[in-house]
Amino acid sequence: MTASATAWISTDLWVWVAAIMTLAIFSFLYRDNPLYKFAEHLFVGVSVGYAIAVSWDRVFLPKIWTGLVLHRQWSMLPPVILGLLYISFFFPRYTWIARYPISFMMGFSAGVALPLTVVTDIFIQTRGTFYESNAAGDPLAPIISVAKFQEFAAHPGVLSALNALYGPLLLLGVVCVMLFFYFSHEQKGPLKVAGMVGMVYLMIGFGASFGYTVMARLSLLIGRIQFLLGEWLRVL
Amino acid sequence: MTRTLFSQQPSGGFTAQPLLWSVILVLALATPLYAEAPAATDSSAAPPASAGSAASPASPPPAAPDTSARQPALRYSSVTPEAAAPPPMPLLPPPTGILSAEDAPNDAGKAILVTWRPQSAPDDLTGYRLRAEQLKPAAGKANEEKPATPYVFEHSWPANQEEYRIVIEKLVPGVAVNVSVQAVAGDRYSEPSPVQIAVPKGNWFHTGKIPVGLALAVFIGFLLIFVQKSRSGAKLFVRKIAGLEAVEDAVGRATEMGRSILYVPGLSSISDVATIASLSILAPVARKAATYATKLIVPNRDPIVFTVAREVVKTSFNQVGRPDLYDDNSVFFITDSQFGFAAAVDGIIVRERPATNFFLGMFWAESLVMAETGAATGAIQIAGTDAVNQIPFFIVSCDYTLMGEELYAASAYLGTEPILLGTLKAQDAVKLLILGVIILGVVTSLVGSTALFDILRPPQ
Amino acid sequence: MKLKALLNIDRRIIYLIMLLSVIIPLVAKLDLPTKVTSEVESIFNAIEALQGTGKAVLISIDYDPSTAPELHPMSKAVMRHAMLRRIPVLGITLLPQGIGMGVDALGTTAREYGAKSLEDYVFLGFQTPPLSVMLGLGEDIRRVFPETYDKVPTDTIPLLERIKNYDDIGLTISISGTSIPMSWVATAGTRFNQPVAAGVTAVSAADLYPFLQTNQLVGMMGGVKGGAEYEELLDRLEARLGTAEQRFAAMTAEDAAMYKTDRYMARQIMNPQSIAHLTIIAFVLLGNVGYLLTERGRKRG
Repeated sequence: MTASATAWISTDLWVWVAAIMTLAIFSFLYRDNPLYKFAEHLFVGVSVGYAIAVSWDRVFLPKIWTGLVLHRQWSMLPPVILGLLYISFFFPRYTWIARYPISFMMGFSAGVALPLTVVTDIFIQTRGTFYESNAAGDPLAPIISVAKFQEFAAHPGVLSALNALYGPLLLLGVVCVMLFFYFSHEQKGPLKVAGMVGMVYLMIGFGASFGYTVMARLSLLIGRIQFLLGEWLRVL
Repeated sequence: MTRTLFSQQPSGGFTAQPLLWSVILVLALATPLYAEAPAATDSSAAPPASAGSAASPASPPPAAPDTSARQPALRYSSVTPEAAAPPPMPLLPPPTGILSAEDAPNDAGKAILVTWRPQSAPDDLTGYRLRAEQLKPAAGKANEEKPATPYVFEHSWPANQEEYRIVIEKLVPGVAVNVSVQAVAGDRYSEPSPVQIAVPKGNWFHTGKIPVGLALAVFIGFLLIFVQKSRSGAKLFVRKIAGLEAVEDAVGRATEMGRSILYVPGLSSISDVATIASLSILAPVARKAATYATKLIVPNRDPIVFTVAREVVKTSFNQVGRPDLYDDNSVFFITDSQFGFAAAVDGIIVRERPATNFFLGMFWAESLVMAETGAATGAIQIAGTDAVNQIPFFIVSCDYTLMGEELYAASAYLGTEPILLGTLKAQDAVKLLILGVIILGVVTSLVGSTALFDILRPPQ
Repeated sequence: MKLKALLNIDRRIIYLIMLLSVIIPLVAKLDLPTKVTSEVESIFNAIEALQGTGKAVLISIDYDPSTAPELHPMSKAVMRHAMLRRIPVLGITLLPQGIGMGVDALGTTAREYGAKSLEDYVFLGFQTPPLSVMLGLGEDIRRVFPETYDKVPTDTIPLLERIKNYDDIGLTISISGTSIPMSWVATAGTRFNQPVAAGVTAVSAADLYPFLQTNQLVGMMGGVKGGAEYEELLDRLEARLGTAEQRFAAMTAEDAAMYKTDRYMARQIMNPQSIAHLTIIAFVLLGNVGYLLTERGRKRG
């Protein structure tokens, strides 16, 4: 084993830099301070600089420089010119020119994304509300099924009850949450009841989301503590 | 007035706004109606470098399923680039049946559909062998003579079906494909059947995407109708949102206590819908603050949002006839750093101790940092965001939370932007439509029908 | 008064208790069992099914160091599985910061399993914009990525002669802390019928369950728990095959210790995670009890 591997603390410069920056960010828990500000600004600057360097080396050079300039693929010229029009943002008198590449990109993105979104987020989700399907998209069984209730009646138990209730609960949740977000009528009578049921479903969902978010934050904290205690201080 | 893409003010002469929307509209409507554009004829002799994007994943052809009902066509892409060995000497009579080959529908022109319906067969028949051959044009200069390269597809299936439907992919558009079938009995083969010829062609129209096109047309139709109605001044009803009823009380509370109102319009840019909604709500809040002579503090993270917010507040104060109360320093830019901004807002909350805090717009991980500090000072807090992951944090730390679409509804309710109101009404109409489809789907599924399920199938 | 104190515990005490509930299990090397869920097992089975088909696994490494504790272990676990089964791995990234993550994950796992770059795996590097990349992979991988991360022209790589587009990719796994997996489902999944799986941070996991329910996603690894489950499944497989012992026996002791720790990373995080969760639940219950009792006292008074 090398001396550095048996040292009680890391002797790697970059581990020290990472540890100091980590502690600098953590100092925000006490209060805002110059060390935290420095670390934050350094992070923002490095990440932007890195993104620019990577975009230059991995996108511009191989695709535009090599394609257009070295191999003279003239078909790339119109999109390059369109992209260059973005630079007009820096000249206040000519900012309006940038609307052309923006509108082209928005039109392309909308044209490609809209049908896919309609299918992915609406069609498939809608049909998933009344039919179970396999990975190939073929129908397997109705979500709400008399057979499942018959199965529960024949073999009562927690699993068969959940299996039978899954469909009605799913349908109830979808309908009530959609009615909760329906703004064109006053929430009175059945609509009010549906809204309240929808609110319950929403709160359950938000609770799950809250729990997941807490889990995510804790994981990141544990990751940092592992680094500090493991790689830096060699306690672990 | 800042010149932005969505500005109502024309930018000195030419405005791209109608052009922009026209482009989006045309592309959005047109795209689902197209299959992939027909590819140019590939004159390369090399194996195709790009496969048809409509092709299913290539996999070793499975055994034909044993069913008498019409099955969807099996798709095969395993085309061998070299010329296959000549078929063995025929020892059986040619198979009898109906062989047809035609261009596969709804594709870019690289596939054909072959249907084989056998009629009578010898007793010892074990299967059928399909052969499809296409002569790929040679690449090279026109005056060079190069032999065309035959592409041959061959595969065998057991003889247990009434009909075989096969889609053969990775072909060259516009070049004829010769298709024939041989009967197989153990190691003996028959003469090939008479050749059927098919020419793969690209299709302009993908019939499988008609439901998608119709759905988009309906939604865009609703949008146009309701936005037009809203612009023409028609009264479109939007119900009151719970959090909005508290706005008046919250502003009044701040006035009574002699303390200020803090309004944070989110951390995102002006192009974010949540920010636009927030700025629409800022206007009536600023008007109320001006009416009651309550101090309003509006910190900003985005420079463009800052300029727009400043204009909104200034205009609101002018509208109620209190330009004298307007303070330029009440709307200010802090920093574009996420947690730097949160720290600065925390500092404002602790020092100024506003009676009312509004957190409306797009927020990320800093949301709870600000909301918790505000809760600790005892302020009444009204939050609204469409960031689903932050809503739980606002719910636990604020008195009223506008969740997701409620923020847009609130901005449509309080604001004067016809597009916001028209969009909201169109979304409501589509929601009802989708609910109807779901209920219809449940009812039809209970009687065993999969018709609606098939209509909503993703186009292949 | 005591009840009021319960509701108004100084937040620094709460920070300290949370810190201790994280540090103590780490230092004490607590080892809790890992239960596997069907969402993660589906991904495992999907990769197992690719054996012998000649198809590759495409792994989209779309995260940066800020979410690495959650996503890096699951990234490596999936790569290990593919390399163990000699399934070709294609690595790409749609974020600039993902490059370093991809280089580390692929490099570490390749060294452990003796996988060769350009033969058993290829790291294609970064490309943008994401939508164009996802659509372009349906036509020709080499056109989207003219060169690999190491600047090797992709049309000179024999592996990519065989693996041209989604037709030759058996599974696409998007590992991300953003909403990129949903874009993969919409483009690769819906448009090209490509099986898609996701590995996401816990923040995004709840948003993807609707796609699991409709089988638009093959499976999902949610947060560090998802990574821990995949590591567990892989360990069970290697224990059945006996491959892990052989491999570690052929290495130096230092390397073997390093890889053994690396393979256990997500499960190591889950130990203090579980304790921290219990601590939070205790605080939540305490707070609610204190609130209810205070309200009751106020009503009586």
